[in-house]
Amino acid sequence: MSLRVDKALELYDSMSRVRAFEDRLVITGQQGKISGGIFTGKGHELLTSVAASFLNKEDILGPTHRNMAAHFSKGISYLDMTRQWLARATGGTRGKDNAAHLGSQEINVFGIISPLATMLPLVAGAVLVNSIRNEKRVALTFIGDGATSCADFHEGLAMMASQSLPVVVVIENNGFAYSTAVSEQSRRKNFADHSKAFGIPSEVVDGTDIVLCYEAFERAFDHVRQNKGPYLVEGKVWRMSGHSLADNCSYVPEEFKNEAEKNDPLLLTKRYLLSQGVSENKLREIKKAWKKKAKEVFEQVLEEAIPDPASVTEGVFAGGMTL
Amino acid sequence: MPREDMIMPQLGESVAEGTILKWLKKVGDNVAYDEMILEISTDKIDSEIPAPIAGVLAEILVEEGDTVPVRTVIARIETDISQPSSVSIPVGEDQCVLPESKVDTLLNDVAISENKGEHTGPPLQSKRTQRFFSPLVKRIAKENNISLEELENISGSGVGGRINRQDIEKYIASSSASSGEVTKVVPMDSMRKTIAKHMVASKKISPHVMSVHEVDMSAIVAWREQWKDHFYKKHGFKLTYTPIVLHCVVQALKEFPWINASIQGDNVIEHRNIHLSMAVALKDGGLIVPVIKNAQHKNLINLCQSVQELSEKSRNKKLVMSDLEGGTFTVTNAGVFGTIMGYPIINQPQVAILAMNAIVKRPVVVDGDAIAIRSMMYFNMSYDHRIVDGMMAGRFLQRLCQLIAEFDVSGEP
Amino acid sequence: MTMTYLNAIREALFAEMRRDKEVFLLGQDIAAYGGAFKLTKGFLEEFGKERVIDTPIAESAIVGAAIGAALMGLKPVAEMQFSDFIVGGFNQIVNMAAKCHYRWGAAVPMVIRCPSGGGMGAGPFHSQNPEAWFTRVPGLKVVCPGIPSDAHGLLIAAIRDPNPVLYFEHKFLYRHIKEEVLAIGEPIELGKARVDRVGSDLTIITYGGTLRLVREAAERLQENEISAEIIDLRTLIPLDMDTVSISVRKTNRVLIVHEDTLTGGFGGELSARIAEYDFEYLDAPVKRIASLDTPIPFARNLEQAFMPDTDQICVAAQELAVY
Repeated sequence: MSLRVDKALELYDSMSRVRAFEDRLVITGQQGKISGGIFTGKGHELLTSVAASFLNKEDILGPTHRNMAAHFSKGISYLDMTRQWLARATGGTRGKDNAAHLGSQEINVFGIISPLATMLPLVAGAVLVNSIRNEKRVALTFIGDGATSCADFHEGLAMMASQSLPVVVVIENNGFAYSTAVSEQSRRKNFADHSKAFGIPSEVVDGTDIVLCYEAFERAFDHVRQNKGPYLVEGKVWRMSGHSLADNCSYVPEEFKNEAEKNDPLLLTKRYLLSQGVSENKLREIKKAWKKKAKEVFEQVLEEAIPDPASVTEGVFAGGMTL
Repeated sequence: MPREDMIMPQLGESVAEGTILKWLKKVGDNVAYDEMILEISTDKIDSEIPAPIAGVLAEILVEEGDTVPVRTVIARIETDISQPSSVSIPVGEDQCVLPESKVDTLLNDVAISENKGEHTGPPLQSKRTQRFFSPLVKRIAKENNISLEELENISGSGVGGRINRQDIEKYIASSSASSGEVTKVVPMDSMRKTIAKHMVASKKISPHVMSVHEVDMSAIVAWREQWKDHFYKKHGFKLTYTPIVLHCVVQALKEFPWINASIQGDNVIEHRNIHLSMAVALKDGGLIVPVIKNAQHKNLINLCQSVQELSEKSRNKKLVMSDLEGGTFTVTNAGVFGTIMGYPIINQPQVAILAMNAIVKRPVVVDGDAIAIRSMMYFNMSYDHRIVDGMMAGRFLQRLCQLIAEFDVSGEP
Repeated sequence: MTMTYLNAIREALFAEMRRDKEVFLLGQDIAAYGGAFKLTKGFLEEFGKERVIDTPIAESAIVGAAIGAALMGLKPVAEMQFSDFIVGGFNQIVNMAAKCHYRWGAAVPMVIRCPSGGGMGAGPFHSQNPEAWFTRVPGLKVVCPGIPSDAHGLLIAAIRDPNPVLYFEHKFLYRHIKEEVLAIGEPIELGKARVDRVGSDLTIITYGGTLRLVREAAERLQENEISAEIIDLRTLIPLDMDTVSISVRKTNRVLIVHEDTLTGGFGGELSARIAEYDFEYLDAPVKRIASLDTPIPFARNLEQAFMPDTDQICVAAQELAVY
C-alpha cells in the first residue's frame, strides 16, 4: 500500500481546511452577508483533496463548483477565497463574479463559469503547451454527475481522446443533480462507462475511502504522466448539503441523508488515521486550528473595502481598452 | 358654418405692413384651396396671395389701397369643411403667422404648443411648424439667426418641397449677413418711399468718401464695335460695357476683400462670395438693384447674359425676392444718361458703390508728351470710410483700371 | 503584391506562424486536407501536426480548447468550418472567452476564423453572417474585412491582440476579389474604419461582403453626378465612430449596407449612434440596406432576391441624395 500515514495526515489537514472554510461560509451566508448561490463540496472533500494532491505547481486545475479543496491545495489562500466570496475590491475577481469563480494564471487554476462542463475543453486546450512548447504538464478537471449530460462533457472528452491529452477527469457522483437523482438522469450503472465510448480508460472508486482513492489517483496520474492519454475516474460520494444553501432538500430521502452523515469522509478518514496510530488530539487540533482561522479570516474580510464603482468598466478588454 | 380668418401675411423679415392692391375675388365668390384671391404690395415685393382654405369669400375687411399691419385680419372665408381651430397658431409678439398654404393632416393629431411670448432659448425649439425641417437645416438656421417664420418661407428643392441644406445655404448667401437693413427697392409708389427712406439712412450710417479714377476705354470700345453683332447673333444677348466692367470688378474685388464686406458692430464681415448689385433705372421712374449671384464663378459671357436677364426682369416686374437680396458690392452705370461723374450713395449694408460713367472722346497725353484722342471714362467710387481708407480705395480703383487696360481684346469674346 | 482575398489570409497565417512559434491552428480538416476551402494547404507540411491540429466535429471543444491554450499564453487560431456552425461554440465564446479577463484578469489571446456569407447558392446553413450576435457581447472583438489588404493586416493584428477576436472572412470574396497587398506581414490596427472612397453627397457605410457592391454602386452614382463617400468599417467592435461621424457631418446623408439580415443587424446599432451623436447634421433619415428577415434560401434566384444588390443600393442612394 503506497499511502503513508504522514501523507494521509496531510490529506486530512486538507480536508479539514476546506471543511472549516465551508462551515464558516455557510454561517456567513445564513447571516445574509453573501449574495448569489452558495455552493459547498461537503462530502466531496476527500475525493477532491486526494486528486489535487497529485498536482505539481505547473499542472493545470480546471475545477467545478464543489472543489474548493483543490483551489486551496493549488495555492489559493483563505484570504483570497473569502475576498472572492464576499466580493471585495481585492477579491480574485474584484467583485466581478461570484462564488468560487476566481482563477489564477500564476498557479494554473482556471476560473470557472456557471455553465457546466465548460471546463473540460479548456483543460484539453491548455495541455497543448506540451506539444507546442515542449513542456510536461498534466491537467486535472472535475465534473458532476449531472453535467455529464452536457455537450461539453462529450466534446471535451472527444478532444482529449483524439489528441491523447494528459487529463485526469474526475466525475463526482454525489447522487443528485440539484433535485434530480442519478437514477433519473441516466440508464447507465456508472458514469465512468462513458470512457468506453471514447476509448479511454476509467475506473470507479469509493470517494470516501482514502486508501482506495489514493491508489486510484496514483494509477490515473501515472497514466497521464506517461503520455498515455486521458483517464477518467468516477468517485462516488455523498452530497452532504443541498444543491446550494437555498435548497431545502425536500426531495432527498431520509435514508440518503442518514447514509451521507455516516459516510462523512472526514469522519471516515479520522477513523482510519486513529487506526493508524495518529492521536485523536492531533486530529482535534487540526480541526480547531482551521475553524479558528476561518472565523478570523471572515471577520477580517468583512471589514474590507468593497469595489470602487468606477471599476465597473475596467477590464472588459486586455490591453486597457474599454468600449 | 365656420368662418376662417385670412390675415395680412409677412412676406419677409422686417416687413411690418402690407397694402391691398387688388382683390381678385369678390364677396360671395367661391374660392378653391390655394387659388389666388388678392394682390398685395409691401416695401419688399408685390405678391399674389392664395386662399388658405376652400370655401366662399364671406367678408372683405380691408379695401384696395389700404395699408394694414401684418397679421391683421383682412377677410373671412366660409367653409363647410369643419377644420380644427389650428389655422392661426398662437404666437408671441415678434412672431407672425402665415396664411395656411396646406393643412397638414398631422396638425390634427398633434397638440399645438403654446408660445409663451418672448423666446429665451434658441428660436427653433419645440415650435409647431407647418413644414418639416431636418435637424441639419434647423441647426444651420439657428447658427445664422434665421427665424422659424423665415424658414417657412424659403422654397425647398427637396422631396415634397422640403428645404435641404443647399436651399438654406443659398438663402443665407442671398440674404444679408447682418441684422441691419438691406436697401432693396421695389416698384410702384411704395418703392419711392422706400428709396427715400433708405438713402437717408445710408448717409447717416456711412461716412461717405469718394475717389475718382479715369481709364482709357479705346481698345475695348473698338473691340466691342468689332464683335457686338456677331456676339448678339451667336448668343441672343448683348455685349455691353457693363458686363465687361463687371468682369474686371470681380477680379479686383477678389484682391480687395474688405471692399466686398459688411460691418457688424466692431467686426468686418468679409463675404467670400461676390454678389454684384447692378442698378437698373426703370422707365417710369424708380430704381431697382437686382443682384448677380456668385459673380466670381461667371465668365464674361455669363455676365452679359446675367446683366441682360436681370435688366429685362427688372423692366417686366418679374424679379423675385431672392433677386434683390444678398448683394455685396454695387455697380451703377450713369454713363447711359451721359453723366461723366457722379456721387452715388452706398447700398447698405455694403461698404462701397462703383459708378461707371459716359465714355467720352477727349484729348489726352500719351507716349511721353504727345496728344491723342481717346475714349475715356471716369470711375468714381463712394465708400464707407469706417473701414475703407483712401489708400485702399485708390489702390482698388487703380487695379480695376489696370484690369480694364489689360483686358484681352485680341480675339472673339 | 496582388493577391486574392484567400491568399491574403493564407499569407497572414504563414507570416504569423513563422514569426511566433506559439501561434497554432485548430479546426476540422485543416491539416492533411488543407481545409474545406484549401486555405491551410501546405501548413501541416511546414509547421507540423503539433501546430496544425485536426479536431473532432466539436465546435464547443474547439473553441474551449483554444481558450484553454490561450490562457496558457499560446496563440490559437481556431477555425469554424462555416461560420454558421459557430453556434455550437456559443456558450464557450460568450460565457467563457468574453468574460475571463473581466472576471479574473486572464487574457484570452485567441482568434476564431469564421468563413461566412452567401451569394453562392449554398443554402441556409452555409451562408450566414453571424457577426451581429457577437457585437453585443462585451469582451469580444469583431472583425469583418472586405478587401485582401485588410483581410491580411487585420488577421495579423487579431492574432497579436490579447483579446478574443472573431474574424469573419467572406467566402465569396475568397477568390472573387484580387487586389494589391502592400505591407505583407504587417498588422492593420483593429478598431479603425477606412475611407474607401471620398465623396460629398452622401455617406455609404458598409463592411465585408457588401463593400464590393457599394463600390460598384458608387461608380454608377458618379455617372449620375452623385458623389458617394464610402466608409468601410472593417472592425465592428471596437467601433470607429469618429471616422463615421466626420463623414456624416460632411455629407449629411447616410446609407448603411450590410449582407446580414436587417433586424438586429449591426446597421441598427450604427444608425442609433449616428442619430444620437450626429443628429444636427442629418438632412435625411438614416437608411439601411440589408438582407431580408428570412432564413437564407437555397435556389439561386431566391437567394438573389434575399440579398442586397447594387441596384437597390443605387436607388436608395439616389433617393437620399435628393431627399
